[in-house]
Amino acid sequence: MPPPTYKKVARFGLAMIFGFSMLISACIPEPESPKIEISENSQLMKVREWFEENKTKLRLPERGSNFRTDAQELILPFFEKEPDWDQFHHYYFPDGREVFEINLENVQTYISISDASEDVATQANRSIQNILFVKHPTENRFDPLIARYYPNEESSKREFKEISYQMIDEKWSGWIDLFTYDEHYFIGFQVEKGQITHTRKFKQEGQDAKKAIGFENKDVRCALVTTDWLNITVAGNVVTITGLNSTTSQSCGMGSYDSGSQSNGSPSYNYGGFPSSGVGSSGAPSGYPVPEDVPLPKLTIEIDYSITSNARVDCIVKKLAMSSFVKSIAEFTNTTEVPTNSVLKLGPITNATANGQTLDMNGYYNITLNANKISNMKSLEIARTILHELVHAEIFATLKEKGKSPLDDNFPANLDQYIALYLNTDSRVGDKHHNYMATTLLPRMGSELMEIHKTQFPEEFQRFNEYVKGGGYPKGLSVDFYMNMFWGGMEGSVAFEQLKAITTYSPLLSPYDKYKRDIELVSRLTQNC
Amino acid sequence: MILFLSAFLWLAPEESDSDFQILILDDCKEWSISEHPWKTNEQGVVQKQRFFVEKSWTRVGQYVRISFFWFYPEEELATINMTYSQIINSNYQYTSELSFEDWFCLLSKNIDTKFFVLLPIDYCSEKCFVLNQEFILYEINIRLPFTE
Repeated sequence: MPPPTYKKVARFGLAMIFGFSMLISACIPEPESPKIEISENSQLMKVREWFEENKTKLRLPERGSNFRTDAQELILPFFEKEPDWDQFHHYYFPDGREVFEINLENVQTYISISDASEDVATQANRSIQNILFVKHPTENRFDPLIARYYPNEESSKREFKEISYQMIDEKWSGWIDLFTYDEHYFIGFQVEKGQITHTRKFKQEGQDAKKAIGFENKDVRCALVTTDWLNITVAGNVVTITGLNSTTSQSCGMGSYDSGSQSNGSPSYNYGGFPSSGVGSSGAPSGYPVPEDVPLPKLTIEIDYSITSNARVDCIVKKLAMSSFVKSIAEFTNTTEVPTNSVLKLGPITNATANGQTLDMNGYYNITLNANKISNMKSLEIARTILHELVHAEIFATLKEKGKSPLDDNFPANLDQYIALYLNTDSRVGDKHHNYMATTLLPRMGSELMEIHKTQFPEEFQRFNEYVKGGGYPKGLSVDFYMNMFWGGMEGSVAFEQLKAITTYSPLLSPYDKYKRDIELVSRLTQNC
Repeated sequence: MILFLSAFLWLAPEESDSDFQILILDDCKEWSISEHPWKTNEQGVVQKQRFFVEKSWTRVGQYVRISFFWFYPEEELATINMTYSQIINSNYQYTSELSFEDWFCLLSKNIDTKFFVLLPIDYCSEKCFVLNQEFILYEINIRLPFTE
């Protein structure tokens, strides 16, 4: 027997009339988001105070022209840099270092011209220069770097809020050049549709230029490129262009970059292409504060045919492969020709109701997504499940090596801490991992999933960001939502039971109320991959 | 007359047995209800009380959560009034007969089905003994745990 008519339309009309009459008096203040903003702003204030106190020290003393000529390195003329503190990105590098990336409001910038066919003012107009403050992991200081984004064409022009060092969308193409605060050139990356394809290091053009950069290494993926540098100054409608040095650069395909320049033969940039301390000998003067190295990924994961033959999951895996977070812990490969220690596949799993599982088979990590559940999952849920399983594999690999993980600088101590905390509470390996994830990694995982949503699914992110304003996040999405997404996969862990046990008085929402609400929000995501 | 009949057929609800299923939460003591604390939505618009009803099994992490929940007025879930005799003459299922695993089967076999529930507060009340008593059935979503 069919149910009677729903009467939704009439009820909706009444609800709207009544709702508007109550609109002014019935608002309940949202307790969570402002807290996050205040916290971010107070951290930014600390960066600002540190910068104001130290900025004169960041500029190195004047040096003679011999330094520049002998070193063959590119050092552009210094100018004072004034950050626009109202415009900033806040994120974490995969090794856990906190970063504030702030727009520079200077009217002065540098651009490199290798294509003379386009008007330089146009090129300058679409470039962006930001200053990155990378918090030192142990000392009370920040390492400032200048990032200059040079889009290849107008379609890659972005506003400040649309691009950052850790948020390059899949449509952006151009060069990103990194300089120290006092304009020593560090390293450049060429990006083609969101993927880093080449790196470059500049040397001043001279008689020994070829010799100086070691082009005779004869790596077929490297090419010698001559570039002119211009100083662009904008004052109102007047654009002043000053020619600077010509430089040569060795532009190399990824995987071949200048390894011969390092004493230990290791690549001279670390995860995500961020310059490491190893560059200091050629890129930055001795003693200049530069970020430290982080370990290379431990997981080399074969992407099984079951994944590549499923268009939807393959699309998600490809998007994840572009994430700096994923790159920090894993390398993906579609061939069996390179040695791997893990596999990612789609298929049946032991627990038919689970979304995925990771098995440690004597140091080989078998990651399987549940083929029966994937078709009904939203794209971001699949991304979350893969990330979750990758973290399991990373924990296994880190335990095996008794080493450090880019996920957690303090892995052994934190591991001991969570084991002590949950000792005798349960014995399943998966739950030990989940308790560790919940207590140590959750904010990081949430932050990374948010970044992936923002950069790899930008259209859905924008639409959903508006939607959640009526769903508990009046100021738009926050990392709390993504953390709650991860909590889902940890249900049954002691940590989750602890979260569930926290109670609040109405109208405040308990953490579990928020979790339930956010799981309802997840159902509003789409299958956009 | 023909026009009137056509209009009637056009506007009449097209629910059939395969479009909806009624779940009678007859294992009343197993279910706990938690009302969402906010009777307005997040934009301050007063709306129907939203709630979650949850049943857990002895093993930690095994539960089913039923949600009568939405964010915007236009998403509001439906309620319908039916007598008990109407309910048991329709497509219904007692939840006491469903194991934890059965809930997964129920969902996977009825992807496009709308579920309505008869709440314990009604089913286990004296209302059940009143002739032609109408019950409110709530359209709900079913949330099952996922492990990863």
